Amino acid sequence: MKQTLFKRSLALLLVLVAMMAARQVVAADFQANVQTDIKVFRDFFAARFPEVKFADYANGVYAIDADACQQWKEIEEFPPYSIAVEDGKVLFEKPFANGKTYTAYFQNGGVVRQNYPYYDEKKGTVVTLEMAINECRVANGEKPLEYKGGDIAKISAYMAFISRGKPVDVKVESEGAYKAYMKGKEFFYAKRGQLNMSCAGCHVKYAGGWVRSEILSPALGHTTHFPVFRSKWGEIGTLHKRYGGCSDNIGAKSFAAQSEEYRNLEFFETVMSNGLSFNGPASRK
Amino acid sequence: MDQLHENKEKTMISRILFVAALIAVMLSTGELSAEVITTKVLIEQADAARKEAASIGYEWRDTASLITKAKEALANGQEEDAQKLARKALIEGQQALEQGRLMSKQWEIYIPKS
Ligand code: HEC
Repeated sequence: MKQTLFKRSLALLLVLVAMMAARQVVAADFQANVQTDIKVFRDFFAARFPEVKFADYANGVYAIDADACQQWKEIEEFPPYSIAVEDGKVLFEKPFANGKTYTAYFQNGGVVRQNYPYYDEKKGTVVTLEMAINECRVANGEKPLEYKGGDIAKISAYMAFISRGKPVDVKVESEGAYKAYMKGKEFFYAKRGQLNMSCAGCHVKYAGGWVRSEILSPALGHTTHFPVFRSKWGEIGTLHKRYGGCSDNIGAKSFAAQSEEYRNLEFFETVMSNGLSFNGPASRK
Repeated sequence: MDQLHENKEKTMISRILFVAALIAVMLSTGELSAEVITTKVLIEQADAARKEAASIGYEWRDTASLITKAKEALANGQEEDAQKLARKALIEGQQALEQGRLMSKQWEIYIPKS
């Protein structure tokens, strides 16, 4: 009698250990798969642009186009985003109606750009910096801001500015995070719209090539320097505004800024840029 | 005189027969009334295809506005324009759907190989 009980407990223990081991393997697989993806992605660009230093991918198209880079450097002496950064600082420090400020919500005086995007286990979704800014507002009884430009882009620009140099290091450690990552990855590689083009088509396969008057930037480093002041927009705008523009250009219906689709896409693109440094805001054509 | 009269009658009869035949042909092919229904149905089909494509995340940029324009043209009695717009929207909706179905199966083939 005692023996069977012992045997049973032992069997149960073995099963439990096996289950835990299986879970460990799965968790390790997420990391391993993502690491492999990152390596393949980087290797592709290293082969395409052997002369470009890895860190320079944070500069977008200017990493691969020497002429444009020279012009850009001249612009950077009086960067057009500096007013947005100053406005952003004022907005960031201004108390809400309840007397509190963003600093109570964002630690480290707002030097947190590097903590976004991340997969929030409780919410079961990817949280971006812009989304967190609005969550902070709502938690303090303020109205959320419109996501494409204006004040949210200014606040985001200020936070990016004070976080410059922090490393991109987005983690994909859980099943939920991996699913969001995979959705972003699928979005990135799948062709859409009347032109039947994918993000990867232009920003991986044809990176360095010309589209009308523009050279296509490598996707590696795409998310490090946002928000961006574009001369075409005449103002500072968010990453998701740019995503919307690119969707539109291929004749696909764009998704809303901060939609789950674009947040997953940002998550994937940022994971691909792990190892670079955040260097926003930036200026672009 | 009589002969002339008879001839006139003959032409009359043949004319009537001709018109009757024409009406019969038109009714049988439904040319007269069916056009209105077809355009309406086309618009509905286009919108259904658009929605289905949207449900898998593949709606195209202009499909919805094509449908709106088709509806407006139909309401203004611009039958031919409405047909054209609705057809274009339907093709867009169907192609978007096909694109989405294909992509969900084969998106991974576009990943660069190591
Ligand atoms: C038809 C080609 C094309 C496709 C497809 C395309 N883009 Fe772009 N994209 C461009 C061009 C042109 C620019 C401006 C030049 C540049 O920086 O690459 C641009 C710019 C960008 C930028 C800004 C880069 C920077 O440094 O500021 C991002 C981010 C971006 N695209 C993301 C995407 C994403 C994500 C997708 C897929 C939804 C996508 N693009 C699809 C052509 C394309």
